Amino acid sequence: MNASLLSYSIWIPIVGGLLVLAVGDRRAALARWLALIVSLLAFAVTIPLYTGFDTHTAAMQFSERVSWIPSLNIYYHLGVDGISLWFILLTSFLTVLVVISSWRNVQTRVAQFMAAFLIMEGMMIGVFCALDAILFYVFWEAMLIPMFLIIGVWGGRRRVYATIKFFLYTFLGSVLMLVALLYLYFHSGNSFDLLVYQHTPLGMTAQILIFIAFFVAFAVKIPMWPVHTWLPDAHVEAPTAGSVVLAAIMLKMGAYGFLRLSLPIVPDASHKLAWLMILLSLIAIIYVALVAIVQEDMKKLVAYSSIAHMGFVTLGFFVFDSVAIEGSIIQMLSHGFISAAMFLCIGVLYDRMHTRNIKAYGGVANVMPIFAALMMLFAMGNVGLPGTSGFVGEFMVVLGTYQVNPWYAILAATGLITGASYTLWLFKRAIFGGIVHPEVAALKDLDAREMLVLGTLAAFTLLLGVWPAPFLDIVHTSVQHLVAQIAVSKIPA
Amino acid sequence: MNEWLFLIPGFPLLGALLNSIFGEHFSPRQIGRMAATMPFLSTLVVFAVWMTHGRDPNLHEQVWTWISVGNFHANIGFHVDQVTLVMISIASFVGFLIHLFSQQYLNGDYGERRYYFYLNLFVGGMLILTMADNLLLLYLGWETVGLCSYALVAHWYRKQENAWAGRKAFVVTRIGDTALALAIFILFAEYHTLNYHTLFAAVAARPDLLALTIAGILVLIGAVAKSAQFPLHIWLPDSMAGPSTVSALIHAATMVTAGVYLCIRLYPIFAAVPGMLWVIGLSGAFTALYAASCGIAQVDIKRVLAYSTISQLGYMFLGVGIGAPSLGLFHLLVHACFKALLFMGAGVVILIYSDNHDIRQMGGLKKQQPFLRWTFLAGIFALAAVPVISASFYSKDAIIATAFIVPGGKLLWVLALLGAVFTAIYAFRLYFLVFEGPEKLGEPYQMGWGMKIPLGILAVASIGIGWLQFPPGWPGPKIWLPWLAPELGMPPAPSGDVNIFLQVAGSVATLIGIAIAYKAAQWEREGRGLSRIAFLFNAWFFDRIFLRIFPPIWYAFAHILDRLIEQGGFQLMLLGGLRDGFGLGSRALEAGENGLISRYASGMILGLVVLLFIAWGYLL
Repeated sequence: MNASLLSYSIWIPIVGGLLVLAVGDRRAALARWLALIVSLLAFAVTIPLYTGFDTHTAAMQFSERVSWIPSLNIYYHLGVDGISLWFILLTSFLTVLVVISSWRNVQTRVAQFMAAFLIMEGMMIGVFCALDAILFYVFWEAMLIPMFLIIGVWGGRRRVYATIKFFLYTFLGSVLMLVALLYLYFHSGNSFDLLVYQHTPLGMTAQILIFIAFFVAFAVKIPMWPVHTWLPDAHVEAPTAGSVVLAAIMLKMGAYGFLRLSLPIVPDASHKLAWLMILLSLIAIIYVALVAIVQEDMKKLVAYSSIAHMGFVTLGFFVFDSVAIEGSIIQMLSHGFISAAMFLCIGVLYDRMHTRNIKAYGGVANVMPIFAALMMLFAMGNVGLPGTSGFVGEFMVVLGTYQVNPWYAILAATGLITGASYTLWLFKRAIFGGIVHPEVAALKDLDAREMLVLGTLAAFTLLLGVWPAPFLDIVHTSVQHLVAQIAVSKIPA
Repeated sequence: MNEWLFLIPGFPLLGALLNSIFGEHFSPRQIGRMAATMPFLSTLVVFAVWMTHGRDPNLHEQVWTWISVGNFHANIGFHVDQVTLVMISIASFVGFLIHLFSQQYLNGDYGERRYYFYLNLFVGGMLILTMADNLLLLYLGWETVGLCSYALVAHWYRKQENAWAGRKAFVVTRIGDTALALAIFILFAEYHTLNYHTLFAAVAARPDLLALTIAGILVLIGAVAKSAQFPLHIWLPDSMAGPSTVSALIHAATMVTAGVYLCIRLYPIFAAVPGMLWVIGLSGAFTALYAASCGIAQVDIKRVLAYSTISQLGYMFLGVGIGAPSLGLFHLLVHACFKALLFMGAGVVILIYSDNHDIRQMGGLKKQQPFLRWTFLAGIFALAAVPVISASFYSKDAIIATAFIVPGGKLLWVLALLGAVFTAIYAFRLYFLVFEGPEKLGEPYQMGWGMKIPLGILAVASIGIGWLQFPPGWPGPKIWLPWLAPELGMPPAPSGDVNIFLQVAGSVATLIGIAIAYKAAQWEREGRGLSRIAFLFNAWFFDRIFLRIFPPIWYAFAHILDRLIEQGGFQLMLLGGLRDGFGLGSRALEAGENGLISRYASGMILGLVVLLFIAWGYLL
């Protein structure tokens, strides 16, 4: 069982998704229940990854290696370490919540909808555990297809526009990555093994070109300024569940790519171009937060907030400090919970009012007190209040950064003020105040299903905030290993 | 006793937790009782600490490791020494009294459950803040109380201005919080520890002047924002939008004193930087005078008290700045008692006058409310520092007197003494307008025992708690300073003729103020009072100028970024030159989206090209 745990994690949701598809849209109830069962099962098989994980080694665990296309030396090679483990669990965990949260608000093509999410889950987990370049690339590209469909079919009014924009950006980025991987293939003596690449000596010019190719692919995904403009549109048009997966998991792919590919494969180029990455991260933290303040669309506001929060993640990577990198990973996890919750909260409002315009709300707390209380918690997480997960990650990143360069840390710390400013601005206008619009007066508070979903996320937000030790323990050894790895030059003497 | 410390913040936090999970199954009255029980239980534990270790407390408990990576370790660990013991006594006991008072005061309000949740959470946060044995845990408490302040100021959220005031409070204090966070980073980067004990040892062994100066300034900014000192005081007067009980607890007795506590706690760091303490003293003395001058012209009963709080906190900072942190702490204790009393009393007055805050439309309340009048008067006595029979006389006047004798303290003494005159003016002006003079009938209001007991206890304390430490040269107990001396040292004390002169000066200042107040109240009734001095009424126009300048610039800037760059720049970067070459999409799409997609795509390509060029430039 243990030997093929990762395969189960990938293929159970994909096969289950196909089954759900076979059930058909006519039998919506059956499709929903089946999707829930599959997602629970998929979550269940990822749990042994945590319980059986050895925190003392940075080596890949639960490895699987089978020849796939022998003529090209391509392997079906999987494995996890401390860096990827949490993202697999996050993916399988959030998919369960996504299925539950879409229980009632998706009424068209239910089976297809659920199937798209399950198949996407499998592919995303595939990205997080693929150790073969081609396998990685296949999962990387394939996971986009369900997301296109989710936005394009179940999206809002301007969904086609958003889909095309999303596609253009992410696809263009990925192509360059493929070129880089092919270069590495020839350079490393015909190997597609990502672990082999980590030990392949590379000259500076080659490193920088590869870094840029990777950078384009990952920066678009994260997204980093200035290639971020697809994200607000995609979020605005995506259905709630799509936004949740997009913000909570897909954005992490880019960051994961930096950790798994860029940093260990081209460490010298990473060092050389770190200034650029730090500059872009700081722009994301400062500039994007400012832009967030003036958004009138709730989803856009949270989308910009996501970009700003991911700025902390990339900042943490490129100061090459273990505290900062661990902080970045915690920040990614935390953002997985909090951004998911924020988008779910907006979804709760959207389901009832069918508008995302902040001005259409006001005084929601009067009629939805439980909702308001929970959203307050997530808003505080977004602000980075100590005791919530948002604090631990940002604090560690800024602390690690400070030890490397105080000025970066000071600039990043302004994000704490702007973050408070736009989040509370949203909260004040939407949730507080008297009821101005009669539609708001008719709102109903959370039902049990919504409470279950938001309550679970709230629990994790607090748990990670006050007791991050179990999360950090997993990450620690692998990050130490990574930091040691990138400190060594790979330029052939 | 060590292993029971966690119960002190634990009880109120448990109350908040129970409330949030099970609250919907109980009536507001039951929730209120449960919530009030929690700080009472904390008080019992604190009392036990007094009984067992009161003489020389030095307790420590490590609960668990919060964050531990690399060389960075932050514990959830509690420490109780003299200073902490004073702070937790205030937070738990005054906290309990205010919970008790709230039972009747908030009865029938909307959102009682939410109110008690945040009130419990607040007390828990305040106890964590004061008991933390390291700076990071202090920061957790610091932010938690900030959140509760935000939520409770905005408690009556149906009025937009209340929600606005809450947000203003949060964002302005967050400026200070960020400064504090940066100070924490600096101290850690320099000394590799955040635990007070080891930090101070490291500072003493290896004082790095530059780091300590910057960290000290940043800590001071944090303290100034939290304790509403000039120029970051602007959030506090607006925070009066919250219920009066909240003002009593958060904006008088506890949270706003966190800044003073921080300065006392980090005293070794300030003391290590030459001149730093004097800056704190100047900031305190100036704020004390500034806010007191604003206080004499206010007509909103709660705004009088708000400016009064700012001013009184200034005296505490002055105490720290002149090297007498134990006197600052003394005044913190005294102030907590009388200001909580005054805020709760003001809350009742406001109820009687049907939510009218204007003291010019009040009067003669002493007949209708004798109990309220006498307790309120006790608070006024303490606020104005009436000689001998009020607690402030022993704390505030001691600070002012000490200022005179320390080097560079004459200027501070002048400011502080002038402030004392103003203090007596606004205190008694308030009292005369509300309780004396021609009677203006409000609605009858019957205070229950739940209200009378807290007011009574605090009134007794406002008069008598100062007797813990008689001035030098007087017969009578001198307990406070010697008790704190092992931790904070003995402050300098005036003696001889100077001593007599200083005490007379302080008393005369108060008496002059009271005399002016009597006339000021008369003028006010005749419609030509101090409130017509626009400069003072508008608090030197400081808040207005601030609001006219910073937020508009901020928003205008954000709008420009949004319009020009986000919506404009990325689309207009390329005018479709690449559109055709790219062969994008169908005609229908183009028509539908006005060709935006291709422009976006072009813009993105341009962005990438620019990035590539930057990188290329690096290569060549």
